[in-house]
Amino acid sequence: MKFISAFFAVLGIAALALMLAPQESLPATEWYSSTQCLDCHADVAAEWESSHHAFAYENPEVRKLSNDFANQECIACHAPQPVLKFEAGERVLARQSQRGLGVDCLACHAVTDGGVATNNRQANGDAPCRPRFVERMGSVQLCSSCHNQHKTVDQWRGAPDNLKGNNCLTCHMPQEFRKGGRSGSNHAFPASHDLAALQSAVSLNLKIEDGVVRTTLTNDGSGHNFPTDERSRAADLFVRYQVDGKLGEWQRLYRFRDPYRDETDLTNTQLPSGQSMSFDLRNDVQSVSVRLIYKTNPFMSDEDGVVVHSATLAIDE
Amino acid sequence: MSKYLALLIAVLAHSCSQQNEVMQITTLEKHSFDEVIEQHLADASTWPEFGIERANEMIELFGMAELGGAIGQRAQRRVNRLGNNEIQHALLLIVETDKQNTALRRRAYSLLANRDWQSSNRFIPRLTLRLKYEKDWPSNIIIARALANVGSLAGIDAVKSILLNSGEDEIDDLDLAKSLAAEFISELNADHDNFEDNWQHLQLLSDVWDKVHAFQGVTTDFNQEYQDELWSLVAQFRSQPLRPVDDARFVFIRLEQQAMTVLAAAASDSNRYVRDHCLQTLTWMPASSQVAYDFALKESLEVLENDFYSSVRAIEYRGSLMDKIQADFLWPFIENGNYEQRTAAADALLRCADYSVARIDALLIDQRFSPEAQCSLLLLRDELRGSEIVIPRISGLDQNELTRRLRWQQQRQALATDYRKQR
Repeated sequence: MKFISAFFAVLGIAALALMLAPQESLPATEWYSSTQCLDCHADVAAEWESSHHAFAYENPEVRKLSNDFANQECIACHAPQPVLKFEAGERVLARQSQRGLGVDCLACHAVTDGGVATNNRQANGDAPCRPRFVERMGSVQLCSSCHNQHKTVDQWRGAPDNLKGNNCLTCHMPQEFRKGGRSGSNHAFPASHDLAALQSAVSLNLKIEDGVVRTTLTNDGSGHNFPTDERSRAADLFVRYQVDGKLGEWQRLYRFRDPYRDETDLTNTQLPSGQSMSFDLRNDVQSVSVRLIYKTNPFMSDEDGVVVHSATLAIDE
Repeated sequence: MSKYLALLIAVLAHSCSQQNEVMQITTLEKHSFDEVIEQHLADASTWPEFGIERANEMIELFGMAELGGAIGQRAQRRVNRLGNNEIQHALLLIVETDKQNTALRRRAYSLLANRDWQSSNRFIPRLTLRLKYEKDWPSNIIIARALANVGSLAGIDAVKSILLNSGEDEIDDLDLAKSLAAEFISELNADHDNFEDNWQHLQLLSDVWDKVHAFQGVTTDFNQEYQDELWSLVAQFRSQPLRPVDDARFVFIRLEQQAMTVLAAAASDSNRYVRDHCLQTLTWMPASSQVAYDFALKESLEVLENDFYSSVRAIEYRGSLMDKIQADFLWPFIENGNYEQRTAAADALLRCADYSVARIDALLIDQRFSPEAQCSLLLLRDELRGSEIVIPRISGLDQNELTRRLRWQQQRQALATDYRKQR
C-alpha cells in the first residue's frame, strides 16, 4: 500500500514538474533538411520529386545556360534559403547546404522560428512539424521572390481578370486527390515541362476567312505571357505546304520569345495573356499544316522541342 | 519515498541537461547597422545630366577637331572647354547605348584610351562593366588599354584570350583584334618589339594582378570622385532585380585592391542584401580579401557572424582569408551553429586548413552535418593525415559542390607553396 501511494506521489510530482516546466525550454525543431519531411509526407514528396523545383540545381540545361553556375546570381533561386526568411516579394538569397535539393520543401515552407507554414487553414498544429496557416503561402508574393526575376509575376498582374485565376496556385498547384482520398495542392507544379499545361495555355487555329488562309495563336489559357520567362524559353510557329502532291519543308513563321539582354538585334515577341497573333498563309496550295513547338531554351533543335499544337487544312481547288 | 523522489529528480535533471546539450545553438541576433551607403552618397559627386544626342554632338566635335584648319581649330577650342566628366560621360553613354554602330563604339573607346585623364578616373567602374556586355573583340582590346592607363588590368583576360585564339572560333575582325592586342602588350613592355618577350611580360603582370589585384606599372588614384563612383556601385546591391547586383559584382571583382575598402565598409550597412553581397563578393576574390579584412572587417566580422541575416556569409568570408589563424573563430560555429552555419564553417575550415585529425573525426560522427560540410571535413582530414586525397562519396552531394571544394583546397595549397617560395 505504502509503495502504491509513493508511486502515485512520484507520478503527481512528475506531472507537476512537466506542467511547470517553462515553455521555452522545450526544444524547437531544428529544420536542417527537406529529407526530414519524407517520413510523414511521402506522397507530396513524390510529386515534388517529379517537379522542376526538385531539379532546379542539377538540371543540365540550367547548368549550361548559367555556365555551370559561374553566373552565381542564378544560385539564389535554384537553391534558395527559405523564402519566408525574407520580406514579402523580396528576392531570396542562396543557401549553403544541400543545394542538390534545389527548390525544396523548406524553401517554401520553413519559417524562421522552427515551424512550417501552410496554406491550409485547418492544419493540425500538433503535428511534429508544427504547421500553421500563413496567408503569404497562397499569395503571388511567395512565388515572385524568384519568378519575378524574369517578370512573370508582373505579367500576371497585367493579365485579364478572367485568365488570372486567384494566384499562381490556381494553374500551377491545382487541387488533387492523393492515395487514401486526401486532397491537396499538386506539388509537381505543372508548367512548361508539362504538355497538358502547355496545351491549355494557348490555342492554335487554322482556317480560311474570306478566302484567306490564316493561322492564329491565342494566349487564352495562361495568366502571363507565352512563353513567359525572359531569355530562356522560346515557342516557334512553323508552316508546311503541300504542292503538287509533295509535302514541303517546315518553315518557321514566327518565334515567340523575350531575348537575352545582349541580343540587341531582337525584340520581345512574347504573346501577352489574352492576346492573339495571326499570320496569313499561302492559299495556292493543296494543304497547309501548322505546328507550335515549345523549347525550354532558344538553342534547342526543333526535334528536341515539344509539339504543343498542330493543325492541317486541305484547300479546295 | 524520498529515494523515489531523488531518483525522479535525477532523471529529470539528466534529461534536461541532455536537451540543453543538443540545443546549445549559437545565438543569433538581429543587429542594427548604420546607413553606411546613404552617409557616403549624401555628398557624392554625380555624372553630368545629358542624353545621347548631346553625346553624339560631342563625338562629332572630336572628329572635327582632328580635321585641322580653321574648322578644326574652332572645334578644338570647344573641346578644350569641355570638362573631363562631360567627355567621359558622353563617350560612355555612346558605348552603353549604341548597340548597332560598332565603328562609333570603337571610336568612343579609343578616345577614352588615347587621352591622358590625369587623376580624373571615375570612369573606371563604368568602363569595366563594358567588358561584360561589349561583344566586339577589337573594342575589348581598346577597353583593356584604356583601363591599363589608369591602373587597372581588368581587361587583360580579353587580351590574352584574343592572342591565344587560333581562329577556330569565328570572330569578326580577329586580325584587327590581334594586331591591337600585340600593339598593347608592346606598350605595356615599354615598347619592346619582340612579341615573345612582350607575351612573357604580360603573363607576369597577369599573375601579379590575379594574386593581389595591383598593376605594378600604374597605381590607380584613389581620389574622392572615384570613391563616389564605387559607393554608387555598391548601392546597386540593394536592387531587387538581380541584374544590377550582378553588374556591380562583376565590376568589383575586377577592380584594383583599394576598391575593396569600400566593400569592407559597406559590409556593415543596414541593408541585409548589401551586407550579403559585399561579403560574398569579397569571398570570391581571395586576392583582395585580406585588404578588406585589415581595413574594416577585422573589427566588424564577429558582429556580422552573429547577425541573424549575415552570419553564414561572414563565416564563409572568413574562410576566404585562407589563414590558419581564422580557424579558432570557426570552431564555435562548427560545434554549436545551426545547419547552415555548420556548413559554412566546415567549408571555411577546409580553406583555412587547421585542426587535428582526431577533432575532425569526432565531428564526423555527428549526423547533423550537410553533405557539403561532410565533404569539406573529409577532404581536410585526409589532407591532415597526409594520405592521398580520396574523392569522398557522400549521399546527396552535388558534383558541382565537390568540385568547388576541391578547387578551394587546391587554391589554398597553391598559396602555401607560393608563400614558402617567397620565404
